[in-house]
Amino acid sequence: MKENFADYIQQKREEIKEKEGKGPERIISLQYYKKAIEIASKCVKQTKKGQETLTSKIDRVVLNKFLGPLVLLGIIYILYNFSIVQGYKITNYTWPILASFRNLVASVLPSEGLLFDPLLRSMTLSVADGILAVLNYIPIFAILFTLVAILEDVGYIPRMTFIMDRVFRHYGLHGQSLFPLVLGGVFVGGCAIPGVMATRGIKDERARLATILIVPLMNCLAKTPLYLLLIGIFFVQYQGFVMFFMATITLVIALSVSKLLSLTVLKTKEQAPFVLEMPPYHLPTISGILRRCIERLLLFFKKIITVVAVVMILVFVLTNFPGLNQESKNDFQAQMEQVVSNFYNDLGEDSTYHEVLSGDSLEEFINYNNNYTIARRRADSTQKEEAIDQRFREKNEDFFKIANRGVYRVDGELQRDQEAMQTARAFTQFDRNRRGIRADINDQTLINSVLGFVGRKIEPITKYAGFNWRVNIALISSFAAKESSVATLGSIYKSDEGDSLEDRVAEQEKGWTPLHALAIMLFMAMYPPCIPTLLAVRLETGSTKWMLFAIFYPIILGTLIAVLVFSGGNLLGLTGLQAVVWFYILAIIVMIIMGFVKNKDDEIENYL
Amino acid sequence: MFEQPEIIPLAKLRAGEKGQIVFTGNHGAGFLQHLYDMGINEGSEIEVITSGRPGPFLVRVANTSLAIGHGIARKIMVEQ
Repeated sequence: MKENFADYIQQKREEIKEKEGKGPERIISLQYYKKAIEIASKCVKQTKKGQETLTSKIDRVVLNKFLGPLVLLGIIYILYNFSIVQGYKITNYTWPILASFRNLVASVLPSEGLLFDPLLRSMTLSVADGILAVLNYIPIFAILFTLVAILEDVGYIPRMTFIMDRVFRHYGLHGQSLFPLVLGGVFVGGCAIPGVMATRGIKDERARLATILIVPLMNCLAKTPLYLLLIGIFFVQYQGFVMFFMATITLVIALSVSKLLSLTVLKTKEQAPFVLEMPPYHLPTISGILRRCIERLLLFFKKIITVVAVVMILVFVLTNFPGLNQESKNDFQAQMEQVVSNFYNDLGEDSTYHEVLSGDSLEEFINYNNNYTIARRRADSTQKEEAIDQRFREKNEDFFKIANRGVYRVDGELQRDQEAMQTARAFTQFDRNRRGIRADINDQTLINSVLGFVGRKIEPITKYAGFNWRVNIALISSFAAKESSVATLGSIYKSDEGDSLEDRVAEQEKGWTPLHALAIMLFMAMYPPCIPTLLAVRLETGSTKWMLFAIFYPIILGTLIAVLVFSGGNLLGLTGLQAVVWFYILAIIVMIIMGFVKNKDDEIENYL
Repeated sequence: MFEQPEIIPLAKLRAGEKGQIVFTGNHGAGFLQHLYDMGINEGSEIEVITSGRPGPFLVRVANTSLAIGHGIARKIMVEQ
């Protein structure tokens, strides 16, 4: 029956061709056009028939062979400057809000112990620190998404494709590879997952595969917080430039990689015709842009809260177990007892406060003091301050006096309590010692943990890239989701107060130079795709082989680059900025050379 | 004075030149379908805005601006 049906269709087709002189598809297309013209003529009015439209005029510059790329570069630079540099300044205002939220959570959880904290507290704070560290970058992403949405609505993206196709072809890519790369984050804000899925439209198999393999190299949303963090510490004066460098270097490297892959991944299928419509330019609508921006922010939010939260719990477990053995615990306990007895000695037997702070009360006071400090910090008016003071004084008058170092107001009258003053002094010393011991405990726990073990084991290799074992842990945890890198750093560099992550890293890793930061950033840029992306790669390529390849080649590439930058930079005695510039030049030279290497299958006849 | 209409590939036109599309019959059905989908019909007037040596061409057909790759531009014939 089937064959008959096919034959029947073919017969009918031939009949039509004979009668009408055209094939059936042709006739159908023509009918579409006729109807479309009919409808259009009833509702579209052409005001400037025959004259050059504004769009064409603009395109004469934007699509010009020389001016076009310059315009493109300019637009990219503006994008950066506004979203990253200015957005970063805004985070200076938003961080305190996040920090106070963190402190709120801390005050609600079971209290700190003298030495060891309850598990619920540690774990929840760990997760909270991780999430907040990443949430800090929302102002930047908000600006970025808005600007990208504007570009999309204006209609610039097809122009970009047009300009880039000429270049992309030299690297085994298609002009249509641009959009997947943009989605993946050519503009430092994207996600490799939609990027990989967008490659479905590319008909040229070789270009498609090459695109799929290099989209994960783009700067996805998750990598950006790490760049911002490290740039904010190590490259502060050159922020705009270094961020621009990070944003563009991935494309430069990706092109070289793509060419290399095209030369070795030798599957060529028929090159699909390149036809792309250039829509007229439009003024974007505010509602459209806002909608798009909010959509993407919400997506980011969702991903953070779900994936990162889960990863953080996992990381917490892996960085805290097996934990300290009994011997170490006893050791620390003994240290603590020493510190406590020193405190009581300082206080002196006769002090009234000796009684107040003995036994469990000491622990109580620690928590009281923490809560009081946090509450006072949040007070933004004298009225609120007084209300807080009242509340805390009613809770425990003695504690209140100590917390205020013996100087406080009762009903407006200034009171001084000498003994409270002395007690407070002794307590400050005690607290400092206590924090020291707790920091040591954290370190020990981390070193003994599962991830710590792995991190240390690979340190002999990674040290050539400038990674110490702490960095290794952060990098390993990034495998599940790259947002985790900042989040993990957030919990590895623990702090008891709401210091920003930048301050904590800067303080605890004093030996680091900008070269360290550069090596980490570049490694992160090349990092293998996160698990969800790998799944997308498998889906799009239909083969596990490519998925595995997509994991391994970036590790090798990233390590080589990091080692080159760090060890090479140190050998040559380069400063961070010099290393950035030299590496940029090197990468661009490699890219240009790669561009000239002729692929065996490149049709020379393409160039008339 | 007597000008024979020239039939040349679109790729040979320079910026600002116009031509009319001619189908010479040695195109695959898929290729033709592609063209129809983009609004390129026999007899349509096509104007080259930016010539694409190298790279894609920017052309104008029936009020639509299109970017056309070299491969296609070589295969589309126009009559000047």
